[in-house]
Amino acid sequence: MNQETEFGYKARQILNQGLDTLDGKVTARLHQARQEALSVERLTVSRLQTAGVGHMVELAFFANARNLVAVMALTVGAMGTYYWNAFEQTQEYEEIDSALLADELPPSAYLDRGFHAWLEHASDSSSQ
Amino acid sequence: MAGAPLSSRNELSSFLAGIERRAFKQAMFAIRNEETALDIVQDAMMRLAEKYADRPAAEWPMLFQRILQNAIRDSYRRSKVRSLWTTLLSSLSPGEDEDSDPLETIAAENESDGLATPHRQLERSQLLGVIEKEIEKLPPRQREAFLMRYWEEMDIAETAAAMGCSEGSVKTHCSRATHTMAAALRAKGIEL
Repeated sequence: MNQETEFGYKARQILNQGLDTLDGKVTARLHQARQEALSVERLTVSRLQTAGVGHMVELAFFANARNLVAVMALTVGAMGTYYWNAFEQTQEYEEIDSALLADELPPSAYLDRGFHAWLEHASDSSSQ
Repeated sequence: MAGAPLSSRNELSSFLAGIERRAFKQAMFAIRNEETALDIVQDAMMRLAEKYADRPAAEWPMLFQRILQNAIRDSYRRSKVRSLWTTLLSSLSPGEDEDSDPLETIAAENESDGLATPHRQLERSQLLGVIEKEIEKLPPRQREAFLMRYWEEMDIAETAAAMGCSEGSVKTHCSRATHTMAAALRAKGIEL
């Protein structure tokens, strides 16, 4: 131990003795300051934890983002096909209805059993 | 994840409890005003807790010292500006007198050591008073280096990082501080 270090060591011992004789008001105020500092740290930690939750949600979402987009595209495609088919069928019925109404044969003829029998007989004979 | 912050909070609490009195004394050596010194320590503690609580505990002494010394320097600068306006008033008030004998100003308040004789207690408190006075008289950078190296037990690299200077400068500041203090004590007939 060189002279300087020895001097420093002895000075430290004496200075440390002075710490025990600090005024009660001062030590109380230091205690209060410490508590306030720790409460600030608590706030920072809780804010970080909240940010952590957001980060977890973000991670969970972005890790499966490709799958989610694929499922959504499939759903939209299936719904689109269903609606398109329904629309086409409606259009087909519309055309048949308008053809029937615009035809020379009155719609009441289709309710006539004799007319049905004649149609069947006529189609059979024409096919032969 | 919940365990880490709790343990680090406890660690920080014990760290602050361990350094708060020395930090107050350091601020007092430089500022010589109890209220301001307490404000400085509180401010330094808050800053450490707010900004550096997540850093490894081993770095806290160096970080805290850097914050504390910056706060002391800021406060010192502000007080210098204020003193421009209050020089006359402060010179009339019975404040710190550089020519006064420190041995006369020591309060006989060291009653804690029941084993020591009153004479020994008086000697110790007188010695403490003399050393504190000599530390106050040191140039700021020498005082910082001396206190960090020997009172805070920081190594040269840590002290250099806290002071924002080279390790060589730390050694020089420490050496000068030690020699100045030793000479001043010798002049008063005190040998450590």
